Amino acid sequence: MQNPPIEPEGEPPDDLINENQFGENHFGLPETRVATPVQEALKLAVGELEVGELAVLETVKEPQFYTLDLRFIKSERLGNTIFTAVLLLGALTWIAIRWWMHGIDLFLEILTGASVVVVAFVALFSWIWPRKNYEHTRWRASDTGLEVHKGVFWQHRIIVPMSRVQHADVTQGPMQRLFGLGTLVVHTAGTSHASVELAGIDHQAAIEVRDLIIRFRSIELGS
Amino acid sequence: MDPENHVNGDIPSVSELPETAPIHPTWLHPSSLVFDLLSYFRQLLIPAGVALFSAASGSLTGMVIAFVFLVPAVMRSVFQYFTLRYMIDGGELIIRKGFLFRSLRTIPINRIQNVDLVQNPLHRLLGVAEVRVETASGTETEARLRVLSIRQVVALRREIFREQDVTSPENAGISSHGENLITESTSTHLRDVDGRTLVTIPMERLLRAGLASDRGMLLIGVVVGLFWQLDLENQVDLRGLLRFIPQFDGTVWNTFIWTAAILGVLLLLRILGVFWYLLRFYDYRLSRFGEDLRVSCGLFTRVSATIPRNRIQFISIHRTFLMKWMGLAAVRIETAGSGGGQAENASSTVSRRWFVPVIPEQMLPELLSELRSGLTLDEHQLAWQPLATNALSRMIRMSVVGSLILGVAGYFAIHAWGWIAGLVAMPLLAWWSRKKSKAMRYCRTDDKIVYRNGVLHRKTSMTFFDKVQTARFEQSPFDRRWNQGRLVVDTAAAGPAEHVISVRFLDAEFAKAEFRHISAIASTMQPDFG
Repeated sequence: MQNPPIEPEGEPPDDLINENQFGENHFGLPETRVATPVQEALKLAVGELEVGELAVLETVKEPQFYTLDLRFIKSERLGNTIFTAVLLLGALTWIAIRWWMHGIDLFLEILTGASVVVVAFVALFSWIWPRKNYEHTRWRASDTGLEVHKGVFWQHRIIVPMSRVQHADVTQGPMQRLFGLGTLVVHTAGTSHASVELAGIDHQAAIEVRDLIIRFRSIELGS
Repeated sequence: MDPENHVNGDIPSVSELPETAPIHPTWLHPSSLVFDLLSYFRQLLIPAGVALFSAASGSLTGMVIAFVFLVPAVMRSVFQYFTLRYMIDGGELIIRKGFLFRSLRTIPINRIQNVDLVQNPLHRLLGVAEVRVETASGTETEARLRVLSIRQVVALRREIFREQDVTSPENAGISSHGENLITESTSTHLRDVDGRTLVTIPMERLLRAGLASDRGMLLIGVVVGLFWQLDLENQVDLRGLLRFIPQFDGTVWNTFIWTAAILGVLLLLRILGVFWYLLRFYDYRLSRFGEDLRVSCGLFTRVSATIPRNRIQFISIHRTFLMKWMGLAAVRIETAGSGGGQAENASSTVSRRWFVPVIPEQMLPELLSELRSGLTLDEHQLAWQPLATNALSRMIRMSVVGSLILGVAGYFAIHAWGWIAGLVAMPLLAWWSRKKSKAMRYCRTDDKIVYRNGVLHRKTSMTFFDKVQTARFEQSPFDRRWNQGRLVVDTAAAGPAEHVISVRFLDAEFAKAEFRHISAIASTMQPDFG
């Protein structure tokens, strides 16, 4: 059993986890962190486990899930704020030109109203969505492979077995670079889900996971 | 041949190879010029046709355009013909092209998976064939030689397969197929005499399969498409034609004529289907040479393809309603790298999508055991997993909602009795949901994952743990409401089988457990692309 030597990345502060008012069962997401004393206790009990209790043993042996890096929320919000600002600027320019050319008329009123609604909605959405995304993303690298849970409304979980990885990349967008984040992209030879993307983890961690995957695969292929 | 050995491609060093008679640099068959030009013009069919047409009607510009099209094309073909040479040397197939800009393609012979042949009537008349060389890695044909004479094909195949036979000791027993190909060169049919024949299709069965297929419908679609495409509806007087059709007035004689006419059209469609099957699959033969499967078929255009067994990623058994009734089935396969529909050509279409176009139910188990060692499938004995207990309720509720929408839409569309449509649809859709939920089943055995669905067109597909790429568990907001989930299994090839393993309406906990289990088993196995 080879647990990946990854340090817990982007540990969410306790208040964030507790803040999730819907509770764990609502989203059906696994716990991000197993309380260490419990884990240790279970490990100690391993010797006394019966065959029927092997399932418990398995869960103990499996590495824990990680959330995205907390900076992900900030970087997404910054990007979204810029987008909202551009949208607002565009709307204001349109309104100003219209006003200047035709004075105040019905169209201008409708335009202004619609702009306020749209910009407000976008602003609200771009503030809430990164947090929602963060709360609904979990990942881990285990013996089985890279496992990613994603999606706020349409949720999915995918496991890419290490031996199926064709190649793995780490990319970094400008906003991510600002916050020291990265995106891990794992490619398989599959068709409908040929690549799995994990955006918003620490850049260094992404590189480590990539190296881990590649090392793991080369060991497997070598045997 | 030891499959492990084959997969990892234990390539012996060149020194271990015996002296092979190298094929010295050779030109293609001279008729290549013609075929090259023909294929070039097929791409430019419309502009060239227009240009030639106006040139023929004496237009100077037309002549100039035709000249502009024709002369460079001819020059290009001549140039290509005289600069392209192929040879086998040092265990490699080498294709040399170009004069100023030279290209040299070398394909190690032991990496060559298929040497596929296509022969249309013109090819056969001239005794030549188009050759496609495929390797495991490629998503498309690695090299195409258009065209070689049969004698050249035989020599090429002999050299390729001789070297491969040496690299795989267990294949040595059938190394005689090289020799057999020589005797074959006298016949125009490129049929392998050697090997074990697994499936042939007697004429009677082929006719029945044609009758059972919906191919005729597709042909109608093509005709209608052409009709619109060529803007014929403005040129053909449809109303004039309509006048010849008698009105339906409900009298006995009139009803009889109408029924007869409708039956006649349906029969015509079926007969068209039969023709399609005859053209495509006449003299069909599937045979096994060691670890390779070979398919050859076709009435005018003959196709022959080789598929290594371990390249099969996905096996799909299709049964249309009529086929089920006749006790027939069709088998489709998917191989790694057999890309999307766009990349398909005649040989891959036949060898994957129509791998076995028709086979009697009772021959299926035997065929499947030949496709993969140790593969058994008894659909009645499988431990099919049920859908979630509330799956049927959900499907029925979906159909009720659907029929309500239909009723409301009908009411707004034609008022008065429009809502009747929704009312009628409700029990029908509910009944259909019931049938659908009964047909939809999932099963996991020691070596494979099987999924079956479809009421009228039943599809049973399977993939194997060494072919699984990723597993996925999906849950939409609706799924969460019903505590259900979807299980998706991805392989390296999805396309020709027109079926994917994507199981809806499973119990969420069960699907989650399966998702984890499949991934765990797959991760312990080496991927096998063949």
